[in-house]
Amino acid sequence: MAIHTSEFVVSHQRAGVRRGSRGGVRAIAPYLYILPAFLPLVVFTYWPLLHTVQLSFYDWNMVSPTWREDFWLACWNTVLYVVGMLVFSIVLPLGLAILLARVTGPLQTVYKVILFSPAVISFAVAAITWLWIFNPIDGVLNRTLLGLGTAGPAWLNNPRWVIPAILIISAWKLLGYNLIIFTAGLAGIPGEYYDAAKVDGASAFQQFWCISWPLLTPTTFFVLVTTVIYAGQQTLIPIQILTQGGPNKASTNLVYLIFQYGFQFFETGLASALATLVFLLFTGVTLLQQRLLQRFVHYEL
Amino acid sequence: MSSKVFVHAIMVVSCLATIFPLLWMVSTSFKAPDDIFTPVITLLPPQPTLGNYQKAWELTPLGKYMRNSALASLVIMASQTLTSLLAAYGFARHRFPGREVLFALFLGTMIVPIHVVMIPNYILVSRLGWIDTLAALIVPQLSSAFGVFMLRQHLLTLPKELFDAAAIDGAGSWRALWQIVVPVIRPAVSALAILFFLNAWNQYFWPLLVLTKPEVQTIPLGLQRFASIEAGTAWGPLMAVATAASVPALVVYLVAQRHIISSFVTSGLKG
Repeated sequence: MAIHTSEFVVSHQRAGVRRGSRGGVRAIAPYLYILPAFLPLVVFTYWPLLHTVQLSFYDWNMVSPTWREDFWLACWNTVLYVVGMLVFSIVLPLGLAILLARVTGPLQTVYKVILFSPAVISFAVAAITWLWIFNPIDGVLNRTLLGLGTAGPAWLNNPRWVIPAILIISAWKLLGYNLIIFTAGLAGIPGEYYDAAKVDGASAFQQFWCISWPLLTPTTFFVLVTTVIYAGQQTLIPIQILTQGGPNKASTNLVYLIFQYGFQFFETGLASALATLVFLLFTGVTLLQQRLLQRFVHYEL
Repeated sequence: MSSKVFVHAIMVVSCLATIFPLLWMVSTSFKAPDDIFTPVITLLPPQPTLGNYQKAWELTPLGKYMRNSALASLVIMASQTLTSLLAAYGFARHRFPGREVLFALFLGTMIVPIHVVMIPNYILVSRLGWIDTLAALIVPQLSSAFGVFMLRQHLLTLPKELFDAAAIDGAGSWRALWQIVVPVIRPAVSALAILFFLNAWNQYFWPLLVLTKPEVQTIPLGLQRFASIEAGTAWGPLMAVATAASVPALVVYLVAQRHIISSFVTSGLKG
């Protein structure tokens, strides 16, 4: 106590300028902590975001004659990517999560680690590896199909099969991620509900339909939105590496169109307008999800 | 009992299907040319060879790619971790005017995808003369809103007594950060650092825009460049580069899988 008091006295004796500057440092200290993280985000996210909107209003006179056609095709393909991805990335991971919940002990971790592994490698590596698997002649997929007595398509070179092929790659990359989210959702459902249902003689399907599915709705909504955003945006990488939007524009989508118009045709204004549109579209999806979540979701029985 | 067998059977089949592309990549990288182009499908290379790696080394500046990737990823990891820690501490342990608004601005950046801002950022970086330098790759990623968000969550769970004790000790806010906070949240900080490293190591799109010369490119770009030149002929060396690109990520994953799975899931998946 004595020491404290003497310190207090000493610091008071030095008062004047010192007290003022100390108070100043204390007041701005929180801002100093935040500044190093904030500065790059302002310069490389907020400023360009505004600049993108601004650029959308410039330079529209260079627009190529096929632009309108490209745009509607890209819109349609974006829908195909999103719908296809939802089928792959909701049903499959949910089914696996339900089965995984019945596995106990170290094997559960082993399964999880394996199923999640595609998520930790680069999408570029994934794309190139699947390029080899999808190779029409020497690829292991068509070789296997040939062994089974059917000739596989040329996958990435076939306008009909190119989107399914890219969806397979993307779903493979996303599977483990959605699986883990569903697993966490299932783990959050109290076991007593299932015990009670079992006492009442409910079948496994009834247990799923009357307990797991309704109680999982917040999780399912979350997975839905991440999957929509993933299908709309992350497919850019396999498209750029594997098909450049081809064959004959069959695999293009909105995000690829931004890249193409911005960095290959140098139509900055048009590409920026597209970027703004896509941003509004996917932000809209996120906001819609939150509204729906508040309205329809069963949080508790 | 039979349903248990059924569950395991499905899980094993799913795991094999999931891991197969990665095994096939590694397997091809160790196969002799004859074994790559034979119609017989074998996962284990009949005559294992390092020839593909040797060829890849001759045909591409693989060492340079790896060095660039390692350098950029480590710098990005260090910077994102440090700036996240400081900002999270600023938000979680201090009261100041504008705190809520500033935090909302941080969160807001998480919903802005890269392709929305890539054109102005490209223009900016090229005006600065940074195209084809690692600065173009690193500087825009010096901080991470997700990191701030996650560490702030962790700091908010720490008991108040911890900080009261620090205040009684007369420790200033800066000293309290390093002597009290950091030792306690070290596991969360290292999990975050691992995630930052993996994201930086794996990223493809922004580097593709700003790094055009092989001398400065990172390994995913090198792989794509090699594929666009050699695809269809040199699958062995190509898979060798793909394997080399994934080994650091897979090793980190196997060592720290528990942390990685949970932090990936909270952060959202990146390309």
